[in-house]
Amino acid sequence: MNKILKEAKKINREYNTFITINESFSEGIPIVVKDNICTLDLKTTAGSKILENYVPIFDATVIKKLKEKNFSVLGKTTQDAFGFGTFSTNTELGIPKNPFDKNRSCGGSSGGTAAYIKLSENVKYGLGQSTGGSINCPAAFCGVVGLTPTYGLVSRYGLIDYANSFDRIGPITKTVKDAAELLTIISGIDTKDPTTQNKNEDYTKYLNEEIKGIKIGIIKECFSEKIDENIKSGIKETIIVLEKKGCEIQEISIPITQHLVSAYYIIALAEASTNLAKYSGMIYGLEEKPEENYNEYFEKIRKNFSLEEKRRILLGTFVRMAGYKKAYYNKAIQIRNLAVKQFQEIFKKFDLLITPTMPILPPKFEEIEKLSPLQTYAMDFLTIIPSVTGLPSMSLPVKTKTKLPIGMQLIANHFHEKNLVKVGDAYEK
Amino acid sequence: MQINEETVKKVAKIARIPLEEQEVRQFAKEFESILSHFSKIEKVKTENNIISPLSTKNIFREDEIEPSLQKAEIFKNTKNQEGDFFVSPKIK
Repeated sequence: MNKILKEAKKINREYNTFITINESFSEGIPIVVKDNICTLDLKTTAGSKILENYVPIFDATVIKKLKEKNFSVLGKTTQDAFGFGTFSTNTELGIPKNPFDKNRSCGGSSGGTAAYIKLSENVKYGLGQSTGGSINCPAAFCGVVGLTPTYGLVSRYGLIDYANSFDRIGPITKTVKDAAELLTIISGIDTKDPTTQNKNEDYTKYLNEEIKGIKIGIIKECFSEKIDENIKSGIKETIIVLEKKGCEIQEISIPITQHLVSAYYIIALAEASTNLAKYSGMIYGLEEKPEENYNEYFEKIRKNFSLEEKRRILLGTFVRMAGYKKAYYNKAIQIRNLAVKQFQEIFKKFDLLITPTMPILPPKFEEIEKLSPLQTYAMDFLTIIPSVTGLPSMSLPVKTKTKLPIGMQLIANHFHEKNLVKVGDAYEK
Repeated sequence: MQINEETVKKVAKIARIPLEEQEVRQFAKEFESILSHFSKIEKVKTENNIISPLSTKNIFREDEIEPSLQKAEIFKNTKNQEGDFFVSPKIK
């Protein structure tokens, strides 16, 4: 058996990184892919029981582009079902374990990809997907690089969607250089995704650049008492390093950031509740013998959704209901628009903004069980900032004395991924 | 915000998600705290604008005939097939 496949099986036995390993993998540049990205003839479940046996008859655009550049999918990685989670624990198809401590979470929802990239000696490229932070969060918890591109830079064709106006596919890799290479390949316009924009470029040309004079804003609200002290001090040390390299650092207050978790969850769950209506027990996905009338059959299939899937469908339905839509859904959209405008103004003065990626170090599984849904949703408040606004961001592992990894989040203006690459790469060196 | 078990049952009926009694009780409790937290956004001053400020534009493709999927591929993920048709439940 080839050594790359052998390593995949060994790591998977210990860490549950894969839902499906590609047994016919033999040659090409190996890449691991989150299981909500469709791969021709290779099972794609989105981590859910509803799609447990789904085998796509096509490749997502990102996979098609990668195959044209001699990449080959090694396996499909474990994740929260449909991306509904922060810790990769909301799934019945395998919970990945943290490479630094097996009793702790990898973060979510692209947990399997991030863990594998950390653990593997042979694979440095992975694909994750983010709605509210699902690339940056697991990258931070596993000590690797996660790059969430601007909404519209990378095609979503062939992605099993969670919330279409937020969903983004992006690299999870060992280094910033790997992420820049991968982004260069997967980005660009696609007639199959009408939201894609013709603004991609070769991001590798921004490696090994001087970062003198780059203006960085430190978002004050993101360094409050809610953030673990180890994380705060780790990031402060990193900011000093950037300052020594010539970056101009300034603190900035952005009060709207306090309201983005609510705005995000209202819009995302509204979109999710309509997206999940397509799993109706017909054509693909979980099926039974359709003997009853349509509504009864539809309910019989939907009874199989997990508790978290049901929770999100019901909340998403509620915020769209007559009598509540104006106060919840419309208001959330207005807040999102206000935030986008405010950030567009801020980026007239700054090239980059910095926050921690996550407020806590990777938690133990037993600690996660004790969290209420609202406490879990609130954990996303830092990654939700670039998610709501469609801004590109990167989680970068900081050099730290702690045993567990710490991620720093860089946020750039729309389609200014070059600033993430420049500063991320300069810091790594 | 007052979310009770009746509200949860009503939403579940609209969403066509059958719930166990225990799930109804759990969701009623959770939704009360989640939705009252969400409702704090009401106080934020915003413009009455629900159109995206992002300057994105739709892209189009030429309306040309392309090869379509083969029948065998189309039916690959279903067990409810009869001849060249998907079997669906009755609509009445």
